[in-house]
Amino acid sequence: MKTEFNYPLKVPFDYITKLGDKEQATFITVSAPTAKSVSMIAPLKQAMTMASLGMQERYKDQEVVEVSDDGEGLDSLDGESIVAMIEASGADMEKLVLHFSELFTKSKLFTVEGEGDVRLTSPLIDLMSINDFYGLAGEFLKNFIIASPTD
Amino acid sequence: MAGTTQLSDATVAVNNNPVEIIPNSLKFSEGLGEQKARAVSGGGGVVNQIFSNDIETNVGKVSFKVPATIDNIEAIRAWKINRNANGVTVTGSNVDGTITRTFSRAALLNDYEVELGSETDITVEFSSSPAV
Repeated sequence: MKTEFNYPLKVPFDYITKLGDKEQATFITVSAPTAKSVSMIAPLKQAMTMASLGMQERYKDQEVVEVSDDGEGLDSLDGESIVAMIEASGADMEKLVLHFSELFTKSKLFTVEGEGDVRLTSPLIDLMSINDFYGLAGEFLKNFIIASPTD
Repeated sequence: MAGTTQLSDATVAVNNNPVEIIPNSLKFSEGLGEQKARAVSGGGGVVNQIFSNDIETNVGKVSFKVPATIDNIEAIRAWKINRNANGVTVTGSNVDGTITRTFSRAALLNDYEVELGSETDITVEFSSSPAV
């Protein structure tokens, strides 16, 4: 059972370590969610389901990447592609981005790699590149929401 | 024309967490220290200058006021107990651009006062490594 994954940052940013030093973050460790975070994850899961159904309908006559229930086939998609698929489905991205921000900062699942566990907070999100924000969001969906927890 | 807007609204974060401060209460010193210039005489009217850095004064300082809420009182206590393992980041933006200063190894050296009341503030003053 996958319990965590590492997201390598495309654009590293500075953060304060537990020792009070300034360091550069190079990747973010994401822990598997539990039901404690379900209220934050529900709207994201719904958006993913709607996007998936929309894509199936739109491309029903074409050969597309098929994703089985256990997440097989997901390896060919990266996080940003998954978010792009949700965007293309017409989801309210302004709301979704706020949901992701809340998940990143309040769920305690996201830690910046460095000296000890430094949680991802809103000032650190402000320093994150847009591509990394979407990439992290998409990888979270790919690893923990679409794929089976036994993957 | 560039550079005509005074910076008055900065974002402060302590240990990567945002802090809501009283407006116009933020001050900082870069910690670049004091320098001294002394004259030395070579005789016959020859005077040279000896320049030195007073390393003792290379201490960054950042101070601000926060309202005396329970969350702030608890947070400041945690910063104090954390000795010099705190970090403060100040980020200011306006139409002219953005500046960021990071004060690492920051400590609350003085015994701060908490005054309870409807409009009371707590003054927080960190001493740190020079700002980067």
